Amino acid sequence: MGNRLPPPGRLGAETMTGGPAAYFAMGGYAAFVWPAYGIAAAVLGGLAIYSWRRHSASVDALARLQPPAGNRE
Amino acid sequence: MRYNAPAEGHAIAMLSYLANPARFMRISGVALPWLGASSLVVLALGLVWSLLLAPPDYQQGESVRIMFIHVPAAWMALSVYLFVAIASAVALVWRHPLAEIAAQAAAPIGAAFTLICLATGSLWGRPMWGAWWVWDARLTSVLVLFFLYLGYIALVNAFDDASRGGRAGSLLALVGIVNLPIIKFSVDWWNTLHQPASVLRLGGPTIAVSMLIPLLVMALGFSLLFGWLLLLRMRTALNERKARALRLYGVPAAGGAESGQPVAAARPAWR
Repeated sequence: MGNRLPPPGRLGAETMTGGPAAYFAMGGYAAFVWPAYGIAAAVLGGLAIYSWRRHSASVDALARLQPPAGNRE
Repeated sequence: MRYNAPAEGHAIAMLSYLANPARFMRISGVALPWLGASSLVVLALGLVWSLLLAPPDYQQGESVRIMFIHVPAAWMALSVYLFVAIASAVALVWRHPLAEIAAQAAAPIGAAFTLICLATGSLWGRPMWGAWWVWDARLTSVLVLFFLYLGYIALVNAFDDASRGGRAGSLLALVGIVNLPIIKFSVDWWNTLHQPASVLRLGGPTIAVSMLIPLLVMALGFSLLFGWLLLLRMRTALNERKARALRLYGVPAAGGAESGQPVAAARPAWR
């Protein structure tokens, strides 16, 4: 797992030299790299959206229960 | 510590200062937008670094980019569990409701990171090891961690009495802490297909700097996201508890907009 220094000339944005198609192909590992990032985005994004909606609902419920002059923390 | 009574008293005073729910709502309300914005910025930077700037590995090629998700997610899976266990201990010893709320708010986030760690590890193992899954000590102990998270969440919600559920869950979280050193040292204690540590090890990291930096940026992004999610979910739980108390103890609300809502809707936090 990257235990040694990469060979010279393979540092930096060299990965884009083959154009977008070659980049998205991920050197033949596209079927593994993109789902890994996709799953992470889906799980964390889903948890964030769920938590945000539930927070908004809790704020709304509290606002309905409390008198207008009350503390709306 | 025994001969350090003033400092000890001061630390407990600090802790109880922060543990006041009203004060928590005020401070977390200020911190929330900053944590949310900074986690977005750092994660965007980490993604660009991981997917564009970092070099392919000389052996693993582009598949090494899975590491920038997999390893920080694994670190989060372990440290969030440690957080849940410490908060559970505080909840059991001092019976402070905010500690229990913190543990219960954090557990689903830790479960999410553990799931990401397992899924990305599987996606990495298939091309590198030729197997989606092997029953080696590292993989198995992380799977046990995932089930500990799920067990904790299920146990907390298994009781009609939320305080009993909270105590049972706290006990499970404390017992489960024995799994953390097993995970960390599994790659040293047993012959695992999973490689040993290359960042957090004695003698320093063996990973190239060009890969270590995006790894650390992603780890910082995940930590900030954890902070944002934790505060958001704790605030939600406090709001829901307050709303439940208002419904149960009959404080009249203006307009009666809540009249259609049965008391049964006021469920315990995170059920």
